[in-house]
Amino acid sequence: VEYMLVSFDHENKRVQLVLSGEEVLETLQEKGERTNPNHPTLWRPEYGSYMIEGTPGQPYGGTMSEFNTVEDNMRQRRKEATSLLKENQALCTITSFPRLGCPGFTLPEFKPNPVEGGASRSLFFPDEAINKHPRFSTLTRNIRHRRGEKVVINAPIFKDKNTPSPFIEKFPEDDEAAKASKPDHIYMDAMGFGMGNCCLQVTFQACSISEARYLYDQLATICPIVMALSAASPFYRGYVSDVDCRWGVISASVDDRTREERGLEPLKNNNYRISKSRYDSIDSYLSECGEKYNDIDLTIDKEIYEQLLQEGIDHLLAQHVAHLFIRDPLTLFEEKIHLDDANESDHFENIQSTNWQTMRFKPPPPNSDIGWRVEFRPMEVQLTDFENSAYVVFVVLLTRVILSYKLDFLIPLSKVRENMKVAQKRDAVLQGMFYFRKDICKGGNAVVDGCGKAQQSAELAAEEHEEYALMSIDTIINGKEGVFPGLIPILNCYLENMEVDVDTRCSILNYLKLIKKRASGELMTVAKWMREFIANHPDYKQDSVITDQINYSLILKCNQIANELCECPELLGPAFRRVRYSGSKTDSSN
Amino acid sequence: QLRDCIQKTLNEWSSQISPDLVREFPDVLECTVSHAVEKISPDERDEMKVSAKLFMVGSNSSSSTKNAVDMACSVLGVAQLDSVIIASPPTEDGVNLSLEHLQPYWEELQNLVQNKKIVAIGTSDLDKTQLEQLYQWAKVKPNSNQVNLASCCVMPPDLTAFAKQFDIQLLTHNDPKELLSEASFQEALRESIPDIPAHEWVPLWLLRYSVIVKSRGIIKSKGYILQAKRRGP
Repeated sequence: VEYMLVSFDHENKRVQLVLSGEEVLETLQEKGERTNPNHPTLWRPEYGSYMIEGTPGQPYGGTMSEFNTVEDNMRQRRKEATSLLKENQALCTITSFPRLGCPGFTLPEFKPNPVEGGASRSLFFPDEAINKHPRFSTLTRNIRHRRGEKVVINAPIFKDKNTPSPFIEKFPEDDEAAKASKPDHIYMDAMGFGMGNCCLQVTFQACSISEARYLYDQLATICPIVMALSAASPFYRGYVSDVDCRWGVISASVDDRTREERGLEPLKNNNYRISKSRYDSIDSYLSECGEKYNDIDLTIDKEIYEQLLQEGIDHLLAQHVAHLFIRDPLTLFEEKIHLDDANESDHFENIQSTNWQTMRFKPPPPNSDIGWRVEFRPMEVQLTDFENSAYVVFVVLLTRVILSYKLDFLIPLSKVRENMKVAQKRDAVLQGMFYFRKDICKGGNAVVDGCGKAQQSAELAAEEHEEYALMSIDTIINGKEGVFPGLIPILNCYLENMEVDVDTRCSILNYLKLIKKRASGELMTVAKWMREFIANHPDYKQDSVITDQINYSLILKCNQIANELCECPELLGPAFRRVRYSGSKTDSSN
Repeated sequence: QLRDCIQKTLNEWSSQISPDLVREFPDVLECTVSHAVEKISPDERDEMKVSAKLFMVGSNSSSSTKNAVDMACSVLGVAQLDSVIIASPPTEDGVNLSLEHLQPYWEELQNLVQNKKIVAIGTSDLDKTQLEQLYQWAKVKPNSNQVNLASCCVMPPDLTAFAKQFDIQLLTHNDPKELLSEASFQEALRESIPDIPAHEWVPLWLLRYSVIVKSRGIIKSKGYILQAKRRGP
């Protein structure tokens, strides 16, 4: 879970991001993991100087009762970090800070200084808002230098009654901005607008490399669905946008491709045309079953590919790694250049950790018993520990169900890419239609350890056309008679076969209820709730502008909801807390 | 789901046997589809938890319990089941389940525990009073009691407290009151094997088993075993 530190100025009705992440992190680590290696939480730096990331101290185990410890642990993280804050400060789990990049959005306040020597050269996002560790400003500067210009982010503006049409921002003093900004879009020009957002990620340990490859592929198809379900970021740079998710914004915020690589100029100095940013959906499936659905042209470093093949790595894995390596390293520490590659994987990790895709396939580092892991990365962070637990538990349960029933969600990868685009749109959760596989049961055939080789007859291609259909998220999650069984009904079927204690079952019941109702529209996503909050705010002038006062009210309300100081039935369900089993150790009275 | 399983099994089975077999009224008919049942290999046994829930259908002799457990062990190729839960046996209309109803089955289950055929035994849908009565009387104490999913968020505090005190796990289930009635069994039978005098066949018990990979929360296999008896025409 990633967090933002905010400070309320109740007198002037303002809220700002506090640039104290480094100090808070230092204290959290000092009091936590450095004092006790078994401390239940771990803290890590994040891009923004106002951000921190918290993870459980140890991986969760595989028994059902572990599901009941997720929320406890998240609560502990919130409590630990909150206890270090000063008066009027709060720890928020919001995906994008609505006035990020607006004048005076940080505490202390800094003016952006758009000069070449800086990191971002942004008109809006001061370098002081970037984490002080040199890695982050170096990343920022190197992305900009490699690209040859500032990053360009244009998020479509939401056209309200009084929004100027066309909506055009003028940047008379900045030629680059004037050219890059598009009409009817909110223009942003710094890595911080993307990497300065918070998200929710889950990493799974697999029992073998083939299980990891299988899960990687299967979950890749789920990414757009769960992202739309978790939509929580409708506002950028003080404006109401027409997207509900951060994905496209982050993707553009770290797009280091040159004009040649983007196909705007003929290739002269660069090696490849590259179709996507380093931050985007995955480009190839890894399992044998996935091979026939790999329909995206994959740009690879041929030399690396050949080398891997020669060393006995199979085609699918070799091309995956060779694809990662079409990117240049973004940061390198001088003392980490000459390494013993047999015992250190820093060079791989360096490229891997700057390929920010929907899924991440994580080979174990040398001399480690951590095993093969898969990371699920598309989710937006939710306001409360309850919601964040619900999404995490939903995805973890889904992996258990996929492995138990050997489910198969695979569709052509180009369709998954299209789904990612649809998933970001405003109200995609209710309005969007997504390609999804119709028959997900392989009839008990083990798909983990490989299936038939790719066949490509015309007959099969015709049959394949029928393999998937456009479905709403409601159909995918809750099922629809005669169309699709629904992920939650399948989860419930799985749960009936597991021995689950009453406390845990009650928590899971409430988690799945939230997911179910968000999918059906009975409950709002955070994005929709925020939009309604703004729309109903007395200061809002139907002009897509989020003022300091409106932002203050919104974040104050978010903080009250997160700390259970008020209920929010349209977001969480009616008084859901009271439904929780009263004897549960996780219950909190207030 | 259960009726589907019964029909699929009978359909497949009856398509493989000589039609005479059904008409010849043998004493024992074993209807299995061998490729649908997965035996547990001995080197995997330690990683698995093999659980079963036993549903009594009609009035029953208590030796049914032993039959059911023996059959589950042999089908799965194991010496021992890790846990068996007995669903509350059906009672006549308006009669509450009492200790006497449970006793014959529980005695049998206790023997099976003592003979190392089962590791732990449990109950289903008992309230605090019923559970307490059983606990006090039983030689081998219940290790768990299942409650219906509908009540997992609104547990009666007395049951929770009692279970905690005596270290009885409270688990959840989502089974209907009657998983399989005589009538619906016969209907399934009739649809699968039209020639059979379905009304003569009475289900005795039904056992649902599941094999779980312990530390990973993965279902390895799951199935039902059902015994039916033919009464005189």
